[in-house]
Amino acid sequence: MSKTETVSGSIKEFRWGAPHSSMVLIYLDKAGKQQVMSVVSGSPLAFSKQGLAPRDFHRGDKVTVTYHPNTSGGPGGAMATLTLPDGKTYKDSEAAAAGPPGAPAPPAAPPAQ
Amino acid sequence: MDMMKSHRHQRIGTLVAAALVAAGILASAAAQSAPSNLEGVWKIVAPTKTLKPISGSVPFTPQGRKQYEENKRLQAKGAYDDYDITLSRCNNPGVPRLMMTPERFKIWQRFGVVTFDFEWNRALRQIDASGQPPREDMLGRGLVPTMTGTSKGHWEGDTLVAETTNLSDRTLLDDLVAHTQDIKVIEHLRLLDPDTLEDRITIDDPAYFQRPWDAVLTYRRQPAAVFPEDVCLDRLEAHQPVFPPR
Repeated sequence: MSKTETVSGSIKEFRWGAPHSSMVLIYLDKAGKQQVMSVVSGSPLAFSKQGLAPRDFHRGDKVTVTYHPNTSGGPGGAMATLTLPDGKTYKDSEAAAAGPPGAPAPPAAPPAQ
Repeated sequence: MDMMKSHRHQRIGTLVAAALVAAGILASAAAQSAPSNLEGVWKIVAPTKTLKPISGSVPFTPQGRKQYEENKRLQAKGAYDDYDITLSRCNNPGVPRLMMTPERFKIWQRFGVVTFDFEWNRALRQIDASGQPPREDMLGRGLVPTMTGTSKGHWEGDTLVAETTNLSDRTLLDDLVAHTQDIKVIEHLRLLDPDTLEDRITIDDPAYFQRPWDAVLTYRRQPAAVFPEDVCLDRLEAHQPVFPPR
């Protein structure tokens, strides 16, 4: 959770579940090659508390995500913030609140593209 | 002492047996109390990968057609995981696509609930025709759609009418046609004769279809049987079709 990275891409799939959901994102890597990453997030209720529901997420939607990268170095990680095409945002404040004392708060969600 | 134990065990055995018989009678009575008994083992008469409208073609809206064409493009590329996670990962095909699986299914009617027990990957769906009020949505948010959605049913004469909503848009109607989360699938299930079951399906999804459209699937009664285990992922691993040809 000490590192945060930002990626923009399009939603391939959103797998809703509790206690964790995950978003599969298609993005371009630094070499400009199309890649896929999975970003784990909170439950549907966590999104609902911030005014978002599964119907707000569609295959192909362009989104911007900040996430804490996998320690393995593999693509993906844990979602910190998410910005949808219509400007709606989600911030994983619950996970941040459950973090160790002094852990950095999640960054503000970036503006919609 | 041993004799007393033996008598006690016999008494417990008798009580258990009586309870099982009573449960069986209750269950049987529950099935018989429905206006029509659809129970049995069924198999689709004409296996198909396409849900064909009764007349004309699928009345796509521009948005629905765009998604259909995109799915066709992905299918031609063999990129199944990009549009059809049933073919790529054996995910539940959902409603109504489950009703098109080429293998058999059983219908159980108990306490007003009609259960479809599919041979394909041991999938299940249920239609609640018990008349119970819908479960209260305590959070008021109708949160997560599922692959088989929520099916509420009622009987109109000898026909079971089911309306399925809350279906995940991660499922397809058939091997290509997509839908939104707002779809309503209305089914009229009835026996045409003791050995023929009909499912008249109405698809209502204004975002993807200009008007509701109908399709009909027919099933032939099969001999009662215990279904062998069916693991779709084993087939995938063995490079066999997800839906085995029958």
